[in-house]
Amino acid sequence: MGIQLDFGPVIDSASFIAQGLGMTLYVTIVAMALALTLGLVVGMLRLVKFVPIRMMATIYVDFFRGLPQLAFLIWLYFGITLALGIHLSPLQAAIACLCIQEAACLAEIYRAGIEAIPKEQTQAALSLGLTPVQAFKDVVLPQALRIAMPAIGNDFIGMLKGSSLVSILGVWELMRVSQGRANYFFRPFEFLTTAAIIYIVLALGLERAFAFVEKRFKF
Amino acid sequence: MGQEILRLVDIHKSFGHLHVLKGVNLTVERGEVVVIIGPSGKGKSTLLKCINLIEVPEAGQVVFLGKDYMQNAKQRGVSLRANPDLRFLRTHIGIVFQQFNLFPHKSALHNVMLAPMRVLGMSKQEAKEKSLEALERIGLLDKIDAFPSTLSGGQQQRVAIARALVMQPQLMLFDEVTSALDPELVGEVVEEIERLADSGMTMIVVTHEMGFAKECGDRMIFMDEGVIVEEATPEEMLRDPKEPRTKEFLRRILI
Repeated sequence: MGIQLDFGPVIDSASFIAQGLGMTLYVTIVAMALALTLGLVVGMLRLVKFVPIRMMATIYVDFFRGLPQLAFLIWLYFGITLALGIHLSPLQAAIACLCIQEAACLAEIYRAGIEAIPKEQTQAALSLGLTPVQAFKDVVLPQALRIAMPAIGNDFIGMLKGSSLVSILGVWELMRVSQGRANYFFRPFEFLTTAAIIYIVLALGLERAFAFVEKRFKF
Repeated sequence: MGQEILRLVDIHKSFGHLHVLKGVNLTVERGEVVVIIGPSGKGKSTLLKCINLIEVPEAGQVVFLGKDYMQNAKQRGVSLRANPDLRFLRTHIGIVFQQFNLFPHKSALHNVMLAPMRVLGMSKQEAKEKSLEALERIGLLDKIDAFPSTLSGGQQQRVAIARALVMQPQLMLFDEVTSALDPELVGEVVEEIERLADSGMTMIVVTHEMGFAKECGDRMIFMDEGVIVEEATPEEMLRDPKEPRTKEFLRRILI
């Protein structure tokens, strides 16, 4: 048998790990919140009748959904920002990257939800004198969101896990902190196991939270 | 009676290659109850949707209270959907659909409250009062917090009627409102419409309920293949249809 397990260093590093965890949550939640908005805009543009606009939205979705996250992160931070002379901090680049890509996925989820609502719902709303915008906002969108909820929850968990990739830019989130501490104490198994467990617990928590919200929105 | 409320002139409507309405002319006077019968899929529902311009005809005039909304749309050069005048038309014409089309994410009360708030600009409190009145009239005060999925078909349809009536329309359109109901639930909905007819509401009713047609209809119209084939009082048409197509249709449904 190999080495003796010792979780002492992990416990000693609790405050570091807590900070990493905080950063992971921060990156995930901020990127997701932005993506929820951007994705809705892109998803709606995908349904616009005017072809050039719809095409642009489609290209956005196809491009960013097809791009590997790691490749995009590195490209955005080391390539594009340099080429365009924009200065982004690693944290800004990380959030931008996660948000831009997640918006492409969410756009499709929103679009599917919106398209699932029968056109009779819109007709009923318009017949009452509502404007097309009101019909969308008050009648179609709430129902579409209800349909999209499970898929959004799924993506949220994916986003949480995906946030570990931004460690490559030097953002001190859970993964990078764990690696750093592991190297310092030369205890990779203990630290990475701890990180893995934290990710799983977070994912479970998110899943429960979404299940609760879904139940609340049931009609 | 006597005052014209709606006039349709030479309405044409196609879906792709399917020419659904081939020149329909119809005038409705205030207080009149017009019953439209005819085979399924031959343009009756489309005609109703052309009246409040949910479907936009390719040609013809839709004259409501003396104003041609088709002409109005052409002059403005805007799409009908974006034309604010349409709000007047749709606010003053109520429509009830075969499949109810209640908003499933809203309770019965909120289904009724939505349009008064959004369209008439009522405060929440005012809209609630009006909506409760409307729901009381159809006898569903005990169901105001129920969601459509928990209501029976008949109850859903009655909420749909209340939702249209709360806007105080001048003309009501009923599109086969009992066709999707279980037989034992038809009565409560028909009663509601009868009561409305008795109150003097102007309405166009697409239906297969001949009892109702006879009882309340001032005029009966038989539509087939996108045109009005025959027009008479309900008694006349049911007793002595003139056109062969009308005879054939009535023979089949009256068995």
